[in-house]
Amino acid sequence: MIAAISWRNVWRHKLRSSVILAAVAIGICAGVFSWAFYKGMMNQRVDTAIATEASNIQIHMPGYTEDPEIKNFISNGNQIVEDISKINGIKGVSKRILTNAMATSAEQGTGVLVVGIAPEQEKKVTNISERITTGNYFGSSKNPVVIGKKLAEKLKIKERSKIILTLQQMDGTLTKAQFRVAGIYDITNTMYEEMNVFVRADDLAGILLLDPKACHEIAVKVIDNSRETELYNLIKSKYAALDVKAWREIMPEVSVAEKSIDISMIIFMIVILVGLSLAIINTMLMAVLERVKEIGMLMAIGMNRKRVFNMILLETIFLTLSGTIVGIIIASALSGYFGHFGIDLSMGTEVYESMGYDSFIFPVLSMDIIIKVTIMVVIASILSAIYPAIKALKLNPADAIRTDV
Amino acid sequence: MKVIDINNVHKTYIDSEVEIKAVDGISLTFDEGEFAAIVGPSGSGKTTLLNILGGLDKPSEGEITIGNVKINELSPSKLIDFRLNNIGFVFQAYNLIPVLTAKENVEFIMDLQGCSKAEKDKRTRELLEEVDLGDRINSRPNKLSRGQ
Repeated sequence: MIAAISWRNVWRHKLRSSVILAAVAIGICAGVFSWAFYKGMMNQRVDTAIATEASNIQIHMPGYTEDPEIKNFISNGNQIVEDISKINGIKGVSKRILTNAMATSAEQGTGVLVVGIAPEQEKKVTNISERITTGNYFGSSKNPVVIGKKLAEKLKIKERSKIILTLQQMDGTLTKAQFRVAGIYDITNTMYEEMNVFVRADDLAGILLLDPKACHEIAVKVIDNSRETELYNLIKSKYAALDVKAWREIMPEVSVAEKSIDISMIIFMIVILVGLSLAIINTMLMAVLERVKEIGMLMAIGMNRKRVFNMILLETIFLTLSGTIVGIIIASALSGYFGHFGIDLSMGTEVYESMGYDSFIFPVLSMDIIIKVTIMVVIASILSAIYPAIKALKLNPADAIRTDV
Repeated sequence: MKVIDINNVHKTYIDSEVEIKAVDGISLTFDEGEFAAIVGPSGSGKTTLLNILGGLDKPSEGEITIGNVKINELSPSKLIDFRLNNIGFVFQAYNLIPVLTAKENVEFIMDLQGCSKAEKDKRTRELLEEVDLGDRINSRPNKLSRGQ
């Protein structure tokens, strides 16, 4: 019956309770929707990192990532690609020859990373082939190169333009090679687009005087990301002599950003809840002071202090949770709508794309977020109830009954 | 048989550094089944004495024994329990719980005492039928007349 009294007490002053409920709903909705927004943004970043930049797993010679010398190559790259392709759960494996070069056009020059790939293998590992906005993904011309949109703008070149790549061969000799732009890709990561140019591995191996079976990097894409750890461990144990890394190790900044989103949003929610708690404490104090006579009577007839405390605590929790439920429902509706249609932040496209983030965000609201927010709300309610409850417990029943409010 | 024994009870309040003797050396006994009325002019200490008798207040001096229990020696939490199980109040103002129905108001104390639902229902209906409120058991106090 204490719960019934508490719940009904919430609605004794409908207007006052509605105002607090609305305040809680707005605060929780803002917090939850923001969390869903940043979660969606981060999910898109991670998906891009895996699908376009790092893949799930990469394999190098030991020491290559610290010192990417062209002499530090995996000699049996083709065999390893073939063997890993046969593992259950692997979507695609691609070998890459990597070298730094100077890319020059008629107008400009800039440093780039030349990535020599087997185009058909690479299609199963990254989605660069699907992000070609101008031209084609290679084709049959001699020495084709696929470059990023940002690089094309920087070098002031377009499809079918010539670029000269100046690079160092295996014996240390500098050489120049002419390539023709077959296609331009756009992955909404301007830094990546400016740095990475793709050529055929065979073409690059010939220029570098490298064994065509060798490579510097093997990228692995899994079918189901939930099996990534299992497959990573399998490949790592199978190729113990090589340096096998998962995407979190290859792109630690993305991994750290992903983990820090939850912590940041918890802090954000705490700030919102501290503000709301002050309003809730005020409301509950008013409720207690208005009911001094009633509380005194309850204590007089035998309601012990624990029950009085529970009554006030439950009333606070009911009030706060009611607003929270409304807030979560609204946030869910907003997340569902914008999760489908997206939020266009194109006024900040350059800024977002320079950090590798999409400017079209699809919020993602998971049950995990709802559970965390609900727990925080309950804790905030309990803390908010303490002061008003202490006020009630300090009442002397004999004096309280005589009170005229 | 004596059920209430009030022995030399004093109650003094301090109000702005002035001592006010609300009850000054009262000794009384009440037997089982006895009906008593405490009468006196306004400010004579009737409410103070009743509060002390009901365990809502403690005497400055003296003893109160109800049954076998010296209630002036009980701690605040034990006093609450004693009141719940041994003392009934009829307040000057109605002091009903406004958010509960007539039935729920009557059965509230039984609920605090831990009675079963069946027991509460039976006893509550009996009491409300007795005072002709059988058809108003689900009405809240603000829907009842002053007499009801």
